[in-house]
Amino acid sequence: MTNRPNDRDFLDPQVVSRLRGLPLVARKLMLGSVSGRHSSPHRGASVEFAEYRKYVPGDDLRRLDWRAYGRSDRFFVKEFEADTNLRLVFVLDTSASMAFGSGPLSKLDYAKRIVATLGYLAIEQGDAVGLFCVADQIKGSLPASRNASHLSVLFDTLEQTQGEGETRLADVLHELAETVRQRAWIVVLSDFFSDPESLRDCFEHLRFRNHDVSAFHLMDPEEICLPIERPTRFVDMESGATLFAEPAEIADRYDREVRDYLESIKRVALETEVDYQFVSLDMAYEKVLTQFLLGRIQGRGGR
Amino acid sequence: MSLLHPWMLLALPLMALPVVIHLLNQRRYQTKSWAAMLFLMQAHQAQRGHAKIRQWAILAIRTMAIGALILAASRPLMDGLAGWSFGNGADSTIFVLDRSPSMQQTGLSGESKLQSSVQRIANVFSKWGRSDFAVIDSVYEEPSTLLSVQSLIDSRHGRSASNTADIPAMLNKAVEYSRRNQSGSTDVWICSDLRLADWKPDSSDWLTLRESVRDHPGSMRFHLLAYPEQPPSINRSIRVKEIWRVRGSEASEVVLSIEVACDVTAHPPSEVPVMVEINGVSTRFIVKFDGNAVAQHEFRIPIAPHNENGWGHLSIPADANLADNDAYFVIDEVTIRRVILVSESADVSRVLKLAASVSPDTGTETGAEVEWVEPSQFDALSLDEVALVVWQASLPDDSTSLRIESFVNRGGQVVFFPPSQLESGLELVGNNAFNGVRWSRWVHDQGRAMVESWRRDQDLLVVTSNGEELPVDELQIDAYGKLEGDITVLATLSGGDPLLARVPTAKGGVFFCTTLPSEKFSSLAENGVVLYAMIQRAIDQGLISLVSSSQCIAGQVPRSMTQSLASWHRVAGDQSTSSSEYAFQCGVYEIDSEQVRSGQGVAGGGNSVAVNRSEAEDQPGLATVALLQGLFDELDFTRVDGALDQESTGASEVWRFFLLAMLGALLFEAILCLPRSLKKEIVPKSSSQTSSWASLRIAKAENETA
Repeated sequence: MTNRPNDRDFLDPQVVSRLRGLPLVARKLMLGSVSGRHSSPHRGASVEFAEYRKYVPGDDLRRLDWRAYGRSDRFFVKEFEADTNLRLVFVLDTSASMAFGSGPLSKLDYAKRIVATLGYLAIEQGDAVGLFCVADQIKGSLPASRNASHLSVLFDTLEQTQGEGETRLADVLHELAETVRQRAWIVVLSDFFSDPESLRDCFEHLRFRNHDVSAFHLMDPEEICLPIERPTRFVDMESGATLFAEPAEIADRYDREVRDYLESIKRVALETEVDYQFVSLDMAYEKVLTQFLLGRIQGRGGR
Repeated sequence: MSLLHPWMLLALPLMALPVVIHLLNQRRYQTKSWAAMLFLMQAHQAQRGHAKIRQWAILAIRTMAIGALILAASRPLMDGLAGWSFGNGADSTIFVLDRSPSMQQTGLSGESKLQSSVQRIANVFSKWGRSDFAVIDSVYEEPSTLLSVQSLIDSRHGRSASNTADIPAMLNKAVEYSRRNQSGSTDVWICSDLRLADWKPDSSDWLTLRESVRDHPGSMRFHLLAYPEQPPSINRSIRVKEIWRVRGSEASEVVLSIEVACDVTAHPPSEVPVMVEINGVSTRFIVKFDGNAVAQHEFRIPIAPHNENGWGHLSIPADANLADNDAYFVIDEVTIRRVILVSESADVSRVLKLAASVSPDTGTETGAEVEWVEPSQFDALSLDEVALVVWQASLPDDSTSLRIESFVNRGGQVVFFPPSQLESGLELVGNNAFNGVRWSRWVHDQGRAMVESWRRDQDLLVVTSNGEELPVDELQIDAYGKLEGDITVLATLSGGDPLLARVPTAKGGVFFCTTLPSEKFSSLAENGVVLYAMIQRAIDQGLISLVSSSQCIAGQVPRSMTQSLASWHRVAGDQSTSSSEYAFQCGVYEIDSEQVRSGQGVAGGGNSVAVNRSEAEDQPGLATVALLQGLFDELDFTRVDGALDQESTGASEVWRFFLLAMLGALLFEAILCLPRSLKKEIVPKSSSQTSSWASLRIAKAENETA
């Protein structure tokens, strides 16, 4: 497969280099296969002391604390925290509505940039990265892997992803909650044009599976504030249904509906402990990621 | 409503412009792929009803605004008459015209109220194509059919007259006309200036009118085109109150008592010049008001002794109403001083006859012609040329009383003396009363009662022309009759009982002398002077009324004189007056006696007659709204006020109304189209993009406003 650098404009090396200094950390304990930068529920060989434990036959004698023996005449084994890597799973909404964008970027393009940048940073620090492209069902999946070569596969997948089809995000998230192994970091990138209450069930399901869930809510400025222009025939990008409306007439009501919807989504995210990020397409994605990563540091999970 | 520029209505299709623009705008829609269809459909669903109403309201307002602009540009004229004419498909229309002198009040344009009302009626009703019109004016008071409304302007109905109108009588004639013609619905238009004298609110005709309208098989509507007073105008009026002739040995004088009134609403002038013309000779006098609204003045104008008859004309300078600036009079020589003596006693009648028959001026005048009759013979006598009735008998019965009251109302004088039954102690037959006054009983005063006091300033016992008092205090009264009733005492006896009393009357004079001119009862006959003065003065007063009989009120000329109007010739007055209206127009008219005598009646008072407007015409009282509502109680009545100096079309431009309507519509449309106010931020607070979103929304709102 021939690489086409121009088509991979979703990865900006300069942005990556500027974000490299910010660690990509999970808020929950992760179960990785190798040592990494994330806290693990198991004891390990890190330099961070965890606890003393009575010696039992079969323990490695090298881990006995001889000084403690000298003081107490009893055998104690010194244990340390374990650091591991994580599985970062991107759930990218590739429904037709994600192809909307009033500016140079569609929501899907914007999401690709986030996925590519975060994926790059994750693999660089040894985490495994996977990708699920979803619409009315899982359109494509890329199992999590921490190989550097996996990054190329990820980019190829992103490059080929197109916005099409209807959205059934709730069903797909339930399916992923059961599919993805426990204790993964699941990052959902979508416009979330679904019922907020159905999303609540999905997020609770993911939390039940001990996943650390982050959500990037992508919306175009025109979707937030209806452009007041001449009469318009609106065509639904997903179903193809049409609606003739005078934007000036319904702008008020539209604003109210959007406001109510956003408040509901935010409430659901708070109640389900989802790391919610509202993203407008007119913001630089670098700034969005910077705030996201800084926020993750502050909320880093304990043992 | 009519239009000055009706061709502007050609632009009315422009009213469809907003709708066309709206439709074009709908046609040039854009197609846009949209992702957030969920919100769009919810908003559209919730907003559809309200948005459609608002949209249609805006379209309607824009359409009406253009319509109002076009109508304003076409300069519409609206008239209250026209407003009522719309849709009132009456079968017949009757105009009731008040042609009284007060309707001659003019505005700055010189157009009188009568002319203005006729002009307005003609202009308005000629546009609506009515065909069945009739008119009743205050002169003829009979309906006459009009071929066209325009003919009103030049017809006799639109000309002024001097008589007072009788609105209720005319309305009754209108109802009768409608009933006779079996009209299904009738509109009656009354043109009047609401003078109480013309409307006669106390007339029983109003009750008749209401009842006859209720019984009318069709519907009748009454519309009043009212011309209330014009406040800024100044109006003065002049009239002759009394006129008599004083004959001297070498020259005679005409004594004129006149009254000049001025509207109290205006500032009365301090004086008014009065031009008096008698037999072609003019004299100018100045009448001073001295701060009063009414000034009375008495002129003495010498005339040649040989001028037995003649006429005169009084005039004041022109003002707001020319119809009350002239007054006419006729100077008549009354040669006969007729007195009727009704007496039951020969002694008393002899004394009274002597007192009446002796001439006050033996050189130039003959004595009065006294006719002594029994009470039963009185009804057979004519009172036309009688100046005084002396009644020494039982008070007259009802029928005779009515005759005497009519005589008194004409200005005649009556002096009652006690009847013989009273002094003889007999019971009075019927004990009749006259004007509520009757004899009660006879009193014998042995101590000879004296006259304690008497009125020296007026009536029969007034001082003489050279200031000397009558020797009333020298009278000795032995017996007298007592009176019952409402009287004004002119002379009081020492006991407090009246010797001479007057009964209040509107005109003429009714006197009661409580004693008899007999030696047995008083020294009236012995004294002689007092009785003679009383009788002669009563005769003089009665003669004034006879002279006044040739001074007629317009519209109230006796039927005997108007039965042969062909014998009337105008001597002075409005030259445009037709001969059929001589009795209704101010002026002096000469009556051909031969023709009159060949007719059914003989005119009283001589060959000339002066016709003047009634005194009520100078009274300023107006019918109020409440009074009108009461008069037209339970009738379909509407009123529109007219005003002088309006445009000749009788309508006023109302383009301002349409312009204001357009401005109001545009203002309302602007309110409906106002951009939505900035709502609170809809992006979640936790988002760092909040400020930028707010900036975005503000910028968008500013763009919309721009």
